[in-house]
Amino acid sequence: MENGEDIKAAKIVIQMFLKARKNLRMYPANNPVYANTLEDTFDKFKDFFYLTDKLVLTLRLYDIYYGEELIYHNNEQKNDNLAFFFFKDGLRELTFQQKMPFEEMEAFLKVISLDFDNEVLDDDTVTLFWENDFQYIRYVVEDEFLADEDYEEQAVSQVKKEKNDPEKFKAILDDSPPTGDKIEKVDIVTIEDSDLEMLFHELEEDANDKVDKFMDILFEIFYKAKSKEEFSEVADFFKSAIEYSARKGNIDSINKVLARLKKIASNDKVTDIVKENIQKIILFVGSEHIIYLLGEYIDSGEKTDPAPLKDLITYFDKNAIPPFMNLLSTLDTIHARKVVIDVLVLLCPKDFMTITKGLNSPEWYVVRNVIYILREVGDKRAVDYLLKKVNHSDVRVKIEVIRSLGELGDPRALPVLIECLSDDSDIQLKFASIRALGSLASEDARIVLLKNISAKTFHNKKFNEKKEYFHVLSRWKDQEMIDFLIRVLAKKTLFSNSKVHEKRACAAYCLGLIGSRDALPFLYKCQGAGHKVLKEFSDSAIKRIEHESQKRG
Amino acid sequence: MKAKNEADSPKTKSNLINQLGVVLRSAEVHHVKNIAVGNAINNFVSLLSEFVKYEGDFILELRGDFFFVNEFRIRYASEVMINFDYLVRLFRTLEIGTVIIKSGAGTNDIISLTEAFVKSPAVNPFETIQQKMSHVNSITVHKLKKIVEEDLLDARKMVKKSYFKAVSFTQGVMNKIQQGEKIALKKAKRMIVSLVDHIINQEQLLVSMTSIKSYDEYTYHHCVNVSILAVALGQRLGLNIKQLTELGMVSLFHDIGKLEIPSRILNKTSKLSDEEWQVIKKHPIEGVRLLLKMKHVDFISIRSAIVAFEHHMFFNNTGYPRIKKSFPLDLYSRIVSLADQYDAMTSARVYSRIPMSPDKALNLMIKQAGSQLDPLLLQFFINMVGVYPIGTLVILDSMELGLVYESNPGFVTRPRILILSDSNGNRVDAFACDLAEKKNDGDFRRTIVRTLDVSKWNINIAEYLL
Repeated sequence: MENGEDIKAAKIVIQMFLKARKNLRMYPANNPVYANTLEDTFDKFKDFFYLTDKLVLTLRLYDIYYGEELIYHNNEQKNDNLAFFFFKDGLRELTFQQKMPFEEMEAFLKVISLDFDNEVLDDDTVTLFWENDFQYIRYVVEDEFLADEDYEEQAVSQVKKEKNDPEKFKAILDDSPPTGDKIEKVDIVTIEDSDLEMLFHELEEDANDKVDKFMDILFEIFYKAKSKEEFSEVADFFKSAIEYSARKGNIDSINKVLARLKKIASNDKVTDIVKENIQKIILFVGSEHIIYLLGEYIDSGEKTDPAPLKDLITYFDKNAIPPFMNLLSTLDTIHARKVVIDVLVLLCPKDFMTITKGLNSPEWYVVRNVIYILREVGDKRAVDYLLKKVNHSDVRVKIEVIRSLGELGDPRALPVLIECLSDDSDIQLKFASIRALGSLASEDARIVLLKNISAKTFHNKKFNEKKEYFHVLSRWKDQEMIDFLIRVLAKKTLFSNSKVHEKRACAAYCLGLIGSRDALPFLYKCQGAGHKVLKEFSDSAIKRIEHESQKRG
Repeated sequence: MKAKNEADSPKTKSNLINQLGVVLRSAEVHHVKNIAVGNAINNFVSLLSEFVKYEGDFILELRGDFFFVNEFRIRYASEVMINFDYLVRLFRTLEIGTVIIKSGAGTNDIISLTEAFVKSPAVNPFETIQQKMSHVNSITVHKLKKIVEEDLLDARKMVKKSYFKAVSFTQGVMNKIQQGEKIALKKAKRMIVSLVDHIINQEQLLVSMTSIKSYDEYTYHHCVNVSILAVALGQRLGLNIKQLTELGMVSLFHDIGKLEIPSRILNKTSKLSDEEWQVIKKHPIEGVRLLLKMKHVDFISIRSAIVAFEHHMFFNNTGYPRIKKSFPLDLYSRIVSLADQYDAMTSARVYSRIPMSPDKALNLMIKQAGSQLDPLLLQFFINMVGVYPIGTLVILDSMELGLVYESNPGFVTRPRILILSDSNGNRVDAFACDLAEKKNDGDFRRTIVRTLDVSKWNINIAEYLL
């Protein structure tokens, strides 16, 4: 090749391998860096194949050659050294052909980017290359290290040591026709379409998970166990199998095992040794280790059916709460956090106090999750803890506290909510307080809301805040409230005061939500109002009330 | 890019071969102008035109038992198995080695090829087809090449090396397990990959190695033999290479539980007492225990444990170990069970010094189909090892003595054999001959008339097969 352009291009491909090993390990497959690295490497291959149709790399312990040219050198015996990485597994030559598709190159790069030092793998590069069944990447492998070099010679001479006596051959024919050796004709069977159908069915069945079958076998071994040691050993096997299932997110299988074990344990005839070992397995399922594995699986983005998980946690005791609580601070995805929160809602009645400890977490989001859990559980004891968190430094936590205080409906929350209503630091906090007062649904809360609405300063509030007040009022559908709203709606002003009209519009909105037909004449009047918002809100309220009336017939 | 990759993908190549099989099979039943044949040809031409757009010519070659398209060995899935097997047989019968269809070939050219194939005479079929195709410029046919003995010798050497490497490795692994040492499963997988690779490319050669029986090293040979036979059967069933590797791994360790059986029982030459039998029958469970102690639970250890537990359980739920709650046997267990029985029956073991001849073993297995063995898998197994399995001693109509050393999927009753003695019973330097070979008058040169029991005549077949 003129000017050694191919050598330069080959060197660049090697550099791309190094870059790919770094980037494919560091970034997830959906990251642009990951995708760009693959594209760039493919482009470099294309550059090389523009010059010649085959890239043949000779691999040595510390060096990689392209033809006679040394294109890579590193004298460290570490997997970071690309030459050593290939050489130690017995690879001696790698050939990439021009027709290599992108997918094949990607598969190759994925294999060389695996962290063989830290991952538990039964594979090396050669077995993984082989399993990928590359069509355009060829490799030469040396595997002498697998076995004793001299064995073949010894074994062959051993099996050959008994020589055949030439006289034997004569004897065979002399025994003509040879007797005693009736021809055992074996018929070759034609494989029919129906056989193939059965085979497809077999192969399809075989693709199913094998864990349940494996558990069945462990049960059989468990039934056959006699000594304490044997029971203990099978219990350990069960634990390993459960660990594997948790890693794979196969919660159904774990549930089936636990159900069977519980049934065995409930039999009065079984010995204490059996019961002890079953208890050991059940405790293991609720252990921190298994819970973390489940967390990892849920967080991996795999779809998780909540039903089996709900079944599983019926086997858990209060000791399962702390590891699940810890997961709240380590999980990355919203989906996983939601699943764990739902689990904790179910577990909370087993140990309310431990859940409340999560309120002291340094992570604001954990505190917020715990508040949510307490609210969902609906235990009034939560109020005391929540009141202490009203002044949390993170406003998102504060909002969650206020909402929860409202929904828990405890009168002790009222002063706090009133205080928050006058806090102008965050509008969302205010909204949460207004809604929480509504959730309290008490007479005192109503009085507070009406008092605020009637105050002169109310006119100066932002329109959204006003609207929120009135929205909340719609939960009281009594005549007194309707009368109040009609009064607000019908309020006359001498001058066209926009602030007053906004309040009237909010009252119209609230009357619409309540569905009061008594308000209709007043609302019709407002349809002709010059104030745009008042007119619009009145229109909407009329439509809503009339629609509801029609529905009721 | 995508279209190109699809067009020259292994799947497309396999589809082309399959479709050619469909064309020729339907043309055997109907006239080439029949609509069924016409549709099949149109489908083939449509696939072909996509293929040649990116690949140029379509070169289909039969090498040994396998098809190659444009130099790529084509592996096939079970759904195309019938057509592939049919085409292999047809190519052999017609003595066709290669068909080259050039870019530009159309429907009429394929019709000509189809007619030439289905109307070929029994005598000199290749010459007739070649002559009939001489006017079709876009298609050329070449005669089936005879297997060059030198190439075969090289391949045999490599296979032999791999086989003994596997036996030696197994011995090392078993010793380590017995001594409670950790074993390197990466190496085990590497060794299996090497075997599976040979099975994919040289199935018959590697299967032939399983007929070499070593009494002294029975355990290790047996493990490797079962692994080879299981993988070869798995290949016939259409398992992919990943599954074949799994199958190879799990079958290698199927009998691992025997390491826990006291050697005084395992090596007892006289009849075992009931008590001793009970101990032997524990080896499937011991196997599970050892496997689970050997490595963390993962997909492979789960499958290995299942096979170790089930390989003596029968198709009809009998056998051992007896279980409380019955479950269907795993596919791999049923495969290994077949391979295990066949190898055990045809080997000399401590409690059965005289091995059964391969054909007798197969007949016994046929009797066990549906009760002990899976009848469907047995069909595939018999088709794999053939009517005359490798290692069978035969007498030919020429009164020569022969040893089957390679079966012939195209002609199951006509394997390739080694001639050991002439028609007068004089020992000769063994030479290979193909029983499918014909004389000028179209008759076969040699035909098997009788099988003999190797053990009865005490012939050491290793002298010939190694």
